[in-house]
Amino acid sequence: MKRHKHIPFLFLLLASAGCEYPFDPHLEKMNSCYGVEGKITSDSVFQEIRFFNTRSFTEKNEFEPITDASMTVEELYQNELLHTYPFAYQNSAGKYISLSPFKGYPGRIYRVVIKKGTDEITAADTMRLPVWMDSIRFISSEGYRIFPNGSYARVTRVSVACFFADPPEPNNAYLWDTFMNDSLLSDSLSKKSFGGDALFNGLYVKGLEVSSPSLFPEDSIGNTRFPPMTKITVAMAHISSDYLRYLVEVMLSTDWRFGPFSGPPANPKGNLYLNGKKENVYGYFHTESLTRLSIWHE
Amino acid sequence: MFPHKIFHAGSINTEDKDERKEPFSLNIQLILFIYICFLHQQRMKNAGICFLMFLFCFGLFATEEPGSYTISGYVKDAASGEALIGAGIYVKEIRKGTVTNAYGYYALTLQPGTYHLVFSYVGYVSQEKMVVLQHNLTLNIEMATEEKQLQTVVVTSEKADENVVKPEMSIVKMDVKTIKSVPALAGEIDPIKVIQLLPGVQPVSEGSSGFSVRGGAADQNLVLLDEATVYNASHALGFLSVFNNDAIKDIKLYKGDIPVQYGGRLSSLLDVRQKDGNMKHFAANGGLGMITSRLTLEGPLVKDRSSVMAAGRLAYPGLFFPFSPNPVTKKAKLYFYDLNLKGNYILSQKDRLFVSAYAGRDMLAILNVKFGWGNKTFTARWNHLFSDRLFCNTSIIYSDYDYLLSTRQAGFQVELTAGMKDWTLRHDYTFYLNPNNTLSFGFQSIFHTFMPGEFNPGGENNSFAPFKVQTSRALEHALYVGNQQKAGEKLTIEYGVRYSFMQNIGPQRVYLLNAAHEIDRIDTISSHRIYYTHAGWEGFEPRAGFTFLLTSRSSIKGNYMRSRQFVQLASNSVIGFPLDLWVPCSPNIKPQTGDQYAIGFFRNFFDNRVEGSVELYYKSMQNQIDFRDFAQITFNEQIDKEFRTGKAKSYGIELLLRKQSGKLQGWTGYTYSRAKRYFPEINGGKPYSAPYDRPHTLSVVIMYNLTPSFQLSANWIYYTGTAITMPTGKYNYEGQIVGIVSQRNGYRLPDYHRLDLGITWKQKEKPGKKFYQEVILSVYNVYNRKNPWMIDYGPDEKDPSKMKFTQIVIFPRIPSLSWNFRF
Repeated sequence: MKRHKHIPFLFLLLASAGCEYPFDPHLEKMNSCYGVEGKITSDSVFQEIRFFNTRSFTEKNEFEPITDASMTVEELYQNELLHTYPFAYQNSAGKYISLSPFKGYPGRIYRVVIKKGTDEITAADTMRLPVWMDSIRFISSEGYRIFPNGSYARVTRVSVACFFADPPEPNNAYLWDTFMNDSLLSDSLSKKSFGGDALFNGLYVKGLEVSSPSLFPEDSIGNTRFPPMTKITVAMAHISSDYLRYLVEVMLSTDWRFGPFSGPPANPKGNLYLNGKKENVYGYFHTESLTRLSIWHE
Repeated sequence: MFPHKIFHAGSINTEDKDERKEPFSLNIQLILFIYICFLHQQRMKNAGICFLMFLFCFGLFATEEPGSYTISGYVKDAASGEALIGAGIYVKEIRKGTVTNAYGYYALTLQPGTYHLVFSYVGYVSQEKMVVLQHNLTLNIEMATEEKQLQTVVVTSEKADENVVKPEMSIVKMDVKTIKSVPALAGEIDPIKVIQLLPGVQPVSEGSSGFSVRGGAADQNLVLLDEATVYNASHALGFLSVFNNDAIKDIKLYKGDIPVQYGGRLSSLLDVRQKDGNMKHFAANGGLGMITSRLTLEGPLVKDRSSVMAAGRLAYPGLFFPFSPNPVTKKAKLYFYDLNLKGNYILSQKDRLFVSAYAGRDMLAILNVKFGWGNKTFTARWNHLFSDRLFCNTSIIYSDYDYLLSTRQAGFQVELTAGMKDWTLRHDYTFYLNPNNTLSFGFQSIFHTFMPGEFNPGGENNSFAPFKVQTSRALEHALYVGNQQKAGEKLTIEYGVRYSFMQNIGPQRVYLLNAAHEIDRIDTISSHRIYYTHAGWEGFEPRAGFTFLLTSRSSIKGNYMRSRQFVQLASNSVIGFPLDLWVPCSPNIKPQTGDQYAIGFFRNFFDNRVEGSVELYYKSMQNQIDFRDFAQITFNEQIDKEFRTGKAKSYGIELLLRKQSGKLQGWTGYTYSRAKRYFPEINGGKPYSAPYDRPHTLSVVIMYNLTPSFQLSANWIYYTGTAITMPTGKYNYEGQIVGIVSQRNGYRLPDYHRLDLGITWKQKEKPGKKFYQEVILSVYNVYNRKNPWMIDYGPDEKDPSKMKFTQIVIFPRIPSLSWNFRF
């Protein structure tokens, strides 16, 4: 469940009435800092962590990976170190990959330790219990598509909704990914769905849209059109409420930023520490307890 | 053309009185005694004792001078019977005078003798009246506008030196005719947009109705419509204000030197008074514009005794939507409206009743989303004269703001509602002790109800539980006393004190926070129980000022004011949003306090035809409110966790030259000002510019009457670009390019400037002719300056490896045509 869906509508109404012109803000350059984007999932796979440099805002969007760091992930349970998983940089992936496949277990803490020179970056997250979806189904909705030339057409679009029981304890958070024929469609944060249980804590969730029609193939008019026997898979990750907060802040800093209607830009607060301080390191390290369901569109 | 003094045969109502009244009647003392007992019960012992002492001392000294008599009465518009607020009454023999109050009433207590009283008011022809004072006298005056032709008139010259002489500073009064003459955005006349052209006042963004006064936040302005608080004075997301100029009689903006009877906000008071209604004859006026149409009807119910005014305004772009071939637009709704009503009845020479109401709403509905918000106010007032010198006003006031947001998607629907209500009781006295002293005292109590939000889901696929953020209630009280005293021929001093405090009332679940803004403890408070009146919350708010006449054309004025604010707007957006709501102080959030110092030099030129002033001010504000990064403000029962507190300072110099008479009128104003904020938990504890920190502001407004039928108008505005926050670094997280911000408000938008032009054709006034019309052609932003409304940034769609910055301009050159009429 994405938040703030109606503020963008109002903002777009206003901004669409305006004209756009290029602008050069003459920004200062910023010294490079560290960035980490990593997760440990409950799937037994080669786990991946991205470690990179930040860039000045006006430079190209090419975030060079840092290849010469040493990286391990520790698995702890009740303050006891159970395992240490080493990671190594893999050129082909542009990321650090675990040397062997492993999976995360509910209730255990996973702590990444990255060392580069005299700098040490750490972060930790606890793997949650999986929450199982009972079912997913296709939902058709009728709407209109208005073309740039002013003409319009009635279209039918398909989304995917899920059904599940939210656990009774509060502050559960979820992230949904969508796959088509086992290929990831929600390959960026703006294409994923995520939300918390503030409005349905302990209730049975009936038909929550988790895959937007914009993910699926369309015909020339805008109707959703699946090839025959298309398999759609939804993966639901049980994440921490702090990670959900971080995701919302990332979106508020990017796609959900609505000019003067928004608060002032700020830095999403990650969970990473550089030499014991939460400064000069950006991103988030988290865990995902995954469940999956698939349906076929004939 | 000079304002003239006229010896006049008609339009004067005098009444001789034999009885002399005591300064107090038993009724007043009884009311005050009861209220003081109430204070003691509310544990406000100190306030009660101070007030009792004041009354005692006042009782000793508040006696009439032996053998003195009082001249009193009302000053009204000759054509409509509208009371004139702030009209000057000057007694030539003693070189002293007074002004009419908010209801057009004045009183002067003098020794027996012969006096020449001069009545003056901007835009009206001054009058001089000779009075032989041998007993109490009622002298009602009706004044004609400068445009009117009068019979049997003898004209001599008179000088208007109010700017210099009047013991008030940092105050701007806007004439409704002047407001009409200034070229407006899309031709829509808006008093707030004109006020934003004055020194010391800035819009929060282009086209917005929100404004900042002397570096204060937009929520630090008290906006009153006939004494009722208007919490969201904006239509159409801020592009127009809720004030229909046709329904307004008087607008005064106090940038400082706020009268002691008002408080509750740190920066300013915008006091808007509606017309009472024409007491003489039926009249109508209205107009058609590009966005709105207006109609105002007014007239007597009983001639010279009772009148009513009704004004309506409707924005109508949405009226054409059903005719659109586009199916989305066809079903869309877009409109706003205002409805102003006022009635008044003169019960007797001593009693007058007023009832006024306002209702306004915005509605936007498209596809599955419906969004509406609006204000309602109601004021009932009773003016009572206990004696010729003791004027009393009692008001019961209701204010309401609410919004509704609903949406339907994928089989479920959601409705969000929120709002707030106030009930206010005011009881105000003005005692015209003698020509040297005018006392004011009284009290005010406001019962606030804050309803932060209710979430109601529905629909067949509903998975959500209803949710309601708990309602908060609070009582806000104030007592005040003040005096305006003439200490000699050259010096006038004003002094007063206000005592204010707030009480939070249950039922309530109170989340008490620790220093890390986490919940320490939750207290459950039962219904109607006052659970918080903190010693640090209540306190005195002294006010003091002086005016010293250097010469007949120049003066020095100074002013100090302390104020407290117990409610604040929970908004961290620049321009405000209809979803923003006001929240009260709580055990976690202390009231804001502010001290403002101002000093000015006032000088008139060319026989008082040009007014000039230079004012310097300094403001220091404590317990200022800002929000943590990414604050969750809507539907948050624990909203106190989102607040961060700090300090703010602002200072500046304002220069103003103004001409209000003659063929050429207008003003030019320049302000140099700075506004800084100091918050330990924001911007790394380093000082940062407030969003409305604009060092340089310049405005030039000109109106020229080419002929009696044609008027040209122009305004040119310049101000330093708004302070904004920009990222200096970036990283990629899950495909999103996230900016890294190093400094709050460390950059600026390009400087803003634009030129507006207008030409008005007015039908000539002729005897016997009843219907008049005028046509206004105006152009907003004549040279099409691309003033950015905001800066957007993100990956370039054409080359995603680069970032693109775009400035969004929403107001290019906009011509407009509007037609107004009256009969």
